Amino acid sequence: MWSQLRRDPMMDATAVRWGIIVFLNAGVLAGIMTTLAAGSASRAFDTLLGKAVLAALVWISAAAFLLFGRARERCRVFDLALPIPAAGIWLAHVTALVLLGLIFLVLNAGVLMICLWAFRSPRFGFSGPWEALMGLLLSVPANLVLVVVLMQRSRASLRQIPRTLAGTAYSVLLLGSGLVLTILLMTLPAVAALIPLGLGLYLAYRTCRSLPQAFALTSAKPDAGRDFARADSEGTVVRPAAAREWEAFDRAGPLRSFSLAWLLIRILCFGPSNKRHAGWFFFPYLLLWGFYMSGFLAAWRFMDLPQLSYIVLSSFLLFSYLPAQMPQVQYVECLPISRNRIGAFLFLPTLLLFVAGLEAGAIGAAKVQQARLQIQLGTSPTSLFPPYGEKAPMVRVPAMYGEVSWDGKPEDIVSPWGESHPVREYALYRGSRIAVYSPFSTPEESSPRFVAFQISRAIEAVYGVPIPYQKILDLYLEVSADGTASLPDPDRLLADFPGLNPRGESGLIPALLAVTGIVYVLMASIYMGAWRARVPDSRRKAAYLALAAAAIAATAGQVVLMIAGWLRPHVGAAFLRILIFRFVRALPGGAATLWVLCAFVLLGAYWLFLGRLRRVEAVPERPGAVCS
Amino acid sequence: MKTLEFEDVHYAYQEGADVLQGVSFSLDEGEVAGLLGKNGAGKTTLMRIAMGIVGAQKGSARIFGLDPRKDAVEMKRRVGYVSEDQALPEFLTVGEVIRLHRRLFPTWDEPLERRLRERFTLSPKVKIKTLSKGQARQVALLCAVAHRPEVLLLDEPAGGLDPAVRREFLETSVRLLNETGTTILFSSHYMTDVERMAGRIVMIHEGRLLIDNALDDLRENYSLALIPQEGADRRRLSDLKGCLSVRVQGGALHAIFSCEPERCRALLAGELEIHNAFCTPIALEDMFIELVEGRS
Repeated sequence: MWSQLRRDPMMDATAVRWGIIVFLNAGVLAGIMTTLAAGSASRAFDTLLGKAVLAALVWISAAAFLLFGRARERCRVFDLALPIPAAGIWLAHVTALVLLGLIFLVLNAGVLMICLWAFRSPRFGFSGPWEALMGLLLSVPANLVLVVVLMQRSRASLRQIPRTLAGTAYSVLLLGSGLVLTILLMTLPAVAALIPLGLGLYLAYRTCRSLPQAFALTSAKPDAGRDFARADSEGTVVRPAAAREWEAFDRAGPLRSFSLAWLLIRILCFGPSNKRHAGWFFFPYLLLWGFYMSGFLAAWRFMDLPQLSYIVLSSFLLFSYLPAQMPQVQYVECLPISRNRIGAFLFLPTLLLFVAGLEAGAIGAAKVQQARLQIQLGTSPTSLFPPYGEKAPMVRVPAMYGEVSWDGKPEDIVSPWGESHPVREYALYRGSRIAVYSPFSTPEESSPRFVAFQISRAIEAVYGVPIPYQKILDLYLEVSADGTASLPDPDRLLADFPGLNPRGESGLIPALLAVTGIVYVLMASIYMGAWRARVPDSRRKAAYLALAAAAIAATAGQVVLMIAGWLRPHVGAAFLRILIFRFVRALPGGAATLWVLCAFVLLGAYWLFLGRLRRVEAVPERPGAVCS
Repeated sequence: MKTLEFEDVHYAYQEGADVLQGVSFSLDEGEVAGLLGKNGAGKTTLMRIAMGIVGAQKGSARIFGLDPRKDAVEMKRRVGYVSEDQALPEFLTVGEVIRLHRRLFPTWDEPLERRLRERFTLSPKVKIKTLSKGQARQVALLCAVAHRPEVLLLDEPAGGLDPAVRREFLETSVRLLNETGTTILFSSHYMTDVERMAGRIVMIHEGRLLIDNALDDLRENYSLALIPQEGADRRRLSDLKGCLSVRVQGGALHAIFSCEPERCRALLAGELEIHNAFCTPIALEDMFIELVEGRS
């Protein structure tokens, strides 16, 4: 059993690669989750919906692994020649899938727990959904066993499950049902997890008993597609069916002129034979990631997102599909297609989808920002300024309207009537003299009049419209018995002053895109260096793994430094956003000019990529063959 | 200007293990040349360098005077290429693969395509991955010849095919193209195929050019000498002018000479006083085995 388990097709480098992808996935999802959770004052996971989200986050990595990995392949062709009973192979394969699935689940849950632990500290004022996470401890493995067994019962007598649309639909249905069952079990006592576990084990036993002595290589049913007439000499009569098919093919329709681009997309983007379905998963995921990175969700939750912390991760996501695309180049290598054109089909689809997601999110975020007053007064720790830990009822503005103090000594804000308060500055990192601060801050001892004064200043800064502070104090502020001021309905200001439109773009999206693109190109260029005929495949894989490790280290490093208190990503993100915004305002033409500049930067990066691609030698793959 | 030209081509997949060590030869328009060599001799690498799939580390390859790496598009429009390990996109249908080629080659000859696909009884709806090896090779051949290439590179195109399909494959390509002046360079381990089709033989061994002669010249001007081992000095035999290789086989020395049998016999008697040698014209397959074994 152990030796068979070690020989299982799943137990190779593929599993390691999947592990990395899952690990990254977990990090990304954890980031999204903690962002959303922080925005909703940390109580989101007490509800059924919150639990469902958590279950989905943990389940999705194992589901992707089962759907897109080599789970269909029960053994190698070589194993068929060995005297090993099919039941033993089947059982070893199911065990391998469950074990690897469990490892990925533990990895995913572990990353989530680390993130939640980091955000749970009093500094962040965020308590993690421990109970919900512990509830998954039994239900997820039990469901994993059941789902794996059910998936592997399909065409159990064959060496591998045939790749068919119906088969994929069945797997998706099973994995979806597994998720629903997991959520259901979270609402029941822990012992209920024994039901799917027992059922899975029973079905595994039944399947093992029903298997023949040996697996079959293919189904005994004749394959209709192979039923050809043979032509062994000139003058063979073509079967009428084929002739009619060619007539229909030659007529082809109005889309014929688009066929070349579409065929190249299919070859270079969706072609990887064992990863075709992964492409259908990857591209929508990339679109959603772009949407997330735009900050739409954050704007919707009235908070700022430290997108710049995710640049390396975004670049790696863009790059991560390239190793699946590169072997496809061999299909077009002998055709008169320039490397520039091949490069466009390798590089641009991922980037364009990311940009589409980013732009869609940015447009949505702009709409949301237009519909809501961008100034808050409250204790909700949802903005970069002040960061999560601040509990005072601060006047809060989008981060880009903050100020930078290069010597760490910002000046006090003084009102016309002489009331002044020191502003609270936030050092860029531990020991740094450079600090950022909000010129609109209202410390606890501020009078309601001072708060109104600060709101008035903030509105002028964000919208360019002066509203007298006395008017704000009289009409919009509420002062409680203990003297605390609040702004109960900030959007009423928007209704009363229709001219309140945000003054301009932050410039964040083009800057984000340019930096992400540059890091992506750097990664791709390093990887391209491994695509030479004389470089063995193992070195290519090592290059990919090294880049993945670097991306993980860069992202995880931020988290570690943040937990240790050395780094404040939110302050860093605010610092960069302030600088970008100032740069945009200083540029003639504003954000439009920045877009043009970033487009040039991206074009330059793209030329670098093309230069590296021109040197690529995409030698046809021949397993076990010696190039000669 | 030569149609296809290799000049001092070097290539190594690993440091110190050169696959090609200064190969130079050229083909004129309309020539059909068979490229011979044992496994690992460098035939596939040479073809790949000609196609620009890999770049020569030293020396150069030129087709129509064009650099296959720098002028790849212009060059590939005029070249057809089929290789044993050539991969067609297995997830596309036969029709889609043909459509892809139609769109890429301005000189695509649709009547020729129609003729070939009818002859091969290909169905447009069938996916490449469901085709047999022979059928997939037929699709590759159709795609390689239907644009009427000026140069056709065939790298072990018939490897793994049954004799009937193999013969049809080769005859189709040669008949279709050679009559229109296409230059063909093909490598094969089937000497009968080479003898049937090629007018010229290029043999490479351990990365170096060993023979570059017209086939008729090989038949007429090369001979095999069988010499009893007793009394014959292998070293002296090897040093004889015109001796290409010597090997010991079944108690006799087998030597290949680049001269006709009569001259070979006279040479052996005159230079080494060997009078009991049996000299005979040599078939291409025997020559290949003797040369490869004798020089290994």
